[in-house]
Amino acid sequence: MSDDAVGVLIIGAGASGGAFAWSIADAGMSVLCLEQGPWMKQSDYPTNNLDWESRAATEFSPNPNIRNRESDYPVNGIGTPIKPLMFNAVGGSTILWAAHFPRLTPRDFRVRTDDGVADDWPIDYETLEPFFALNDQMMGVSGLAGDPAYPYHEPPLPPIPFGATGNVVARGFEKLGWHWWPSDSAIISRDYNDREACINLGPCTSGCSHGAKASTDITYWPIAERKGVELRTGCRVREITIGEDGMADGVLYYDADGVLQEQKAEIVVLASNGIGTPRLLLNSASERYPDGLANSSGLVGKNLMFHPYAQIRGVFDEPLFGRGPLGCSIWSHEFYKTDRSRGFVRGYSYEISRGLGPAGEALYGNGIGRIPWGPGHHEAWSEIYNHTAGMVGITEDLPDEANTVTLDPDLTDSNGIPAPKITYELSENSHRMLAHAEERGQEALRAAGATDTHSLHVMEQAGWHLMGTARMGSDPKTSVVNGWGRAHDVKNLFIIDGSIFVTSGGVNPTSTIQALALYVADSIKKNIGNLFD
Amino acid sequence: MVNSISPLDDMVFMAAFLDTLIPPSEGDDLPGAGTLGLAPQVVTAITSNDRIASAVSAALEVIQEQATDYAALDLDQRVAIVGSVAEDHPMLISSVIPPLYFAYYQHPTVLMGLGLPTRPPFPGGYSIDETDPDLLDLLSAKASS
Ligand SMILES: Cc1cc2nc3c(=O)[nH]c(=O)nc-3n(C[C@H](O)[C@H](O)[C@H](O)COP(=O)(O)OP(=O)(O)OC[C@H]3O[C@@H](n4cnc5c(N)ncnc54)[C@H](O)[C@@H]3O)c2cc1C
Repeated sequence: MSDDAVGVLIIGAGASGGAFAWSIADAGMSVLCLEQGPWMKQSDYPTNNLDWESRAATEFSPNPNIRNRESDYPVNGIGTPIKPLMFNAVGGSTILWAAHFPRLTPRDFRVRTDDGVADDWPIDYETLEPFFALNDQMMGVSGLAGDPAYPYHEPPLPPIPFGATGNVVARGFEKLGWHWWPSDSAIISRDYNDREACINLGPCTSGCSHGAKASTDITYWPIAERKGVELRTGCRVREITIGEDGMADGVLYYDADGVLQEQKAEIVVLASNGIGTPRLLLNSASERYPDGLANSSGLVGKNLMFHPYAQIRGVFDEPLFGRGPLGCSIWSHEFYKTDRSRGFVRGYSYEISRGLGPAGEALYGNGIGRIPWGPGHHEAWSEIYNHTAGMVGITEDLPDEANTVTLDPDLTDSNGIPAPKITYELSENSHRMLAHAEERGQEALRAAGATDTHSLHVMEQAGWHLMGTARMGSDPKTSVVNGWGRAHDVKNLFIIDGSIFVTSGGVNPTSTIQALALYVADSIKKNIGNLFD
Repeated sequence: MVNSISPLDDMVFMAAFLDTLIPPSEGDDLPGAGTLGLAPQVVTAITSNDRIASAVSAALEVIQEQATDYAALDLDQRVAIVGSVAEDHPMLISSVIPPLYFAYYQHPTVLMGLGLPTRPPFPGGYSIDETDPDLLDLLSAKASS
């Protein structure tokens, strides 16, 4: 170890990195986080400007290949039906996320036991429960206690108002007798911890100018820094280095000036997301670990899961003023559990989405053939704008070793580091589930009063959930990390992001990612005396 | 006579083309997209991608070949020509519509004509309908404990 060695080195300041840093700061070790992106400014987000819709689609696009910022690395997703999305900055992808905050359900942790497919997790919901609750407090979660789809839990804040859209769709669900409930949302419905309540700007997915949406740059990081954690931005890690004992001893990284630096550490923690983490492990191949670090199982980069999304929208005669948090209103778990008579195993959830802005609705209407160019354009636009409601079906993506993150042989980032390449196909099970979600979703919107419904089988720009590429498990032959995130092969290397998911569930992952990060931090603190045994 | 400048640089032609895609509204509350002066903005977006620029330019050249004074035609004639050229050049419409709709529906004149606020979402925000209390009553009957 060199003199400047730190106790804990975290790579990535996103959802998991922020939560972990805040918690591990209490362990009495020095903590450093290296993040390739910058701090963001709320005053730079698109909703500060009249051209917010076009800025959201370009410089704030969730697709790093479209956005192409200095802090981004390219991702080769050519040929994949779903494109990977992320953001690289302090706060990570929570800068752009929609802030839906469902937890995985207890049954999601025992998929093999219940349904004979995929694998069980080495931990369960009950183990994570205190960390879910702690994380809800830290992020500021709005919701309504008592959702029968979950064990009882109390979100700290009341639900986000349903708005006209939520009210209408909820009545549709009621008519059909389906499960529905107000979403748990990481958006504050009341003033909370120095943050002001949501004022319904609308497009949460281009950054929240008001700070009502939780992103870890405004929730965890300010407190973590006050506790003494050092966060270095503009620092892109090239590889994790290995000592003679085979343990991780630090990293090599490019600083903000592009100069290669070495940083030694006693513990290295990967929080770079389900694509960045396997990329880094594969880029850390060495003589001792020729197939990449922590990869004796051969599973680093395999079993990539995205959650294929079906999109269903309907046009209503009645006006539905559609602003408010884009995605956060109500959800349904009606088709969440396996029912083999449907022709597929596992299931999906629905989340209701509100209307789009004037340009977004024009583009949507054009895409479904309702808004023509030329004569009739204006009349058609006014039939659509403020008259649509929609939902997405979030389907469980079962792990498949053929779906991978590997290193692209040619493509590199601006520092010359090999970029990730995605290989991914939808399974027959996913196709069937998507088709079911399309059909039943349209039925629900019609029950709610839609006069015209449309669906998209699978959304392409929707690879926002990155999971499974360094999975947890008890057996080193079939998993990369153990039940508390420690790499089987390298005992001072931990992984805390979505890579460690064993299965995906049919809900958004970040509540569970952060609960896991807090659980791993807690486990490290509890085992500090014999951490490497 | 063959036009010597690229159609993407011919702002009179481009304005007429954009006025074809979004013509003025019947009551004239909303101007046509070309009349609104959106051509330079739309052309900048199109030419930021070489592949799109060359496909769109090729299609526009065909339009110019078919109607040397395209801008002087009436709307129905312009629509007919664009429609027939677009059949062989599908990228013409699909590549122009996104930057055009963004430019048009973010323009203060259009927002005003539509009766929408001409301000960005922040800092004013918006108010939305409260949750229907009957729905909340239904939920309290279903809630688990
Ligand atoms: C548009 C969008 C909408 C979403 N909506 C939702 C939602 O509603 N609900 C939900 O649960 N989830 C949502 N997500 C997903 C959610 O944002 C992610 O699940 C979550 O942020 C993942 O956390 P993470 O810590 O694994 O990675 P991230 O938050 O992505 O953070 C990883 C960080 O690591 C950094 N990094 C990577 N490689 C390196 C390197 N080599 N050196 C230094 N730094 C590095 C990156 O810059 C980044 O900041 C959404 C995502 C997007 C893009």
